[in-house]
Amino acid sequence: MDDLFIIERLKKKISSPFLYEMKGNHCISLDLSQESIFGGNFRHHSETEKEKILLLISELEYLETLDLRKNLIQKIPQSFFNLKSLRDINLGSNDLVEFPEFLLQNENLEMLFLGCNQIKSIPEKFFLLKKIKSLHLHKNCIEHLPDEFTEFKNLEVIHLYLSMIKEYPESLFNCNKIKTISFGFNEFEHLPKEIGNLSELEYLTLICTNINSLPEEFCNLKKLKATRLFKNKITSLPKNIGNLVNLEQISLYQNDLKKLPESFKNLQNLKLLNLAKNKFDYFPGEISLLSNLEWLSFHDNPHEIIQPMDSSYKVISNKYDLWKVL
Amino acid sequence: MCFLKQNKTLIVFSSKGNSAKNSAFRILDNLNKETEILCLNDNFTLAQNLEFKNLILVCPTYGDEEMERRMEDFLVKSDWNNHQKKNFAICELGLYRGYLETEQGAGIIIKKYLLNKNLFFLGNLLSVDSIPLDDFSLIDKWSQEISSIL
Repeated sequence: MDDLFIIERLKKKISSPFLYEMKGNHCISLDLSQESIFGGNFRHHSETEKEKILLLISELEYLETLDLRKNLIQKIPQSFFNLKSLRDINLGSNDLVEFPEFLLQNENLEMLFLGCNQIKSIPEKFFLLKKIKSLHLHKNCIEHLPDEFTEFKNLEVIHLYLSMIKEYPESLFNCNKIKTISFGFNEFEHLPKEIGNLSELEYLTLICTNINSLPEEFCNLKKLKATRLFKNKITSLPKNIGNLVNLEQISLYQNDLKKLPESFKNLQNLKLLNLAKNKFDYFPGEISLLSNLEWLSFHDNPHEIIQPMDSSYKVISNKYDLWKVL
Repeated sequence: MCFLKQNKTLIVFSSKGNSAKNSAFRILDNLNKETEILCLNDNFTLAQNLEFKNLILVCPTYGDEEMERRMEDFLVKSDWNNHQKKNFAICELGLYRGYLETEQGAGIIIKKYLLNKNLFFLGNLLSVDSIPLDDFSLIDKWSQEISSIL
């Protein structure tokens, strides 16, 4: 069947606008994630209608990019084994309980988004997808995650927060092209010192865990631009945190910090600092030395800034106790 | 099915744990007008002949992904034709305060949906950090503000 004919049939079945791209007679890109408020274009269709829509999609065998996010899909049909040219697929925010096996034959896959499903297990063969650059497995129920990430030599982005993994995949810390990584919502007690191996890391998220400190190797992350470390149990920051000269944002909201290391004043590119809900009983002088700071939050500490140190601070939102630094 | 008289306030909440429930009842405590409270766990849907003037929705938010599913079902499956020009307010609960600034939390989704149905939005959207839920003063302040304009 001609791809344009398939698209026309999809339009009738879906009855809301969606994006697609043709290359010659072939549809190479399809985005069904764009319904206005809740998400996917066929999110509220019946299960029978969803099956018919998925069947039509599977006939677009030249697809390279496919976005089916937020459609409450429970199962990917067998017919999806027709799709072998995918480079970029988003199956996030659906109701999948199994890893979609058809993905394994898409050896050119670079971006895989499976976040926000109920997937329990990742197959060993998953690591045959050696071209993966961006991997989103967050918000799942993963009981089994093979620890073979060294096979992913191009991996740049990985999200694992709320994935239910019980321990860090050690091999991940050997993927030295990683720029973005996230963990969170589990019982982790520490951040491995091997985090310092990720010399290209720019964005690190580690939230809602039991960790109470960061390894000194954290300070090796010279390219780090932003880190979200909120809702942990961090009592102190590494001595040389000031080495993170490219750091622009750090959120330490809701930890157990009482003071900042002296080197904190060296974070001269820092623009955003969130220290709310900690245990500071004084206003750390290091903050006043951060010449590029634009945004500070310090509410819910034993020492409340009612009127900050001097007139260089201006309230920008009473509701959130945010302080604009002039 | 639940029948309420005109000018009454209806609080509807969806709660997997107890945070949304506790927040909803805290709001109830602060409203001095006659108010009824309903839990979406009971498969409640808004009946066409339901009478209320003000609707307060209390719902968990899951960040940039989606809102709590039962609240979505409630919104989508309810018939809003007879509720145009009625008032609504929203209290969302999440990982931190301030999802409302991201345009992606439950509060924003609900607000867009009900504005499309021609209801009026009352006051500021309340965004509460519910991990853990301990800032009841924020809820008190907000619900007293809402109470004053009902």
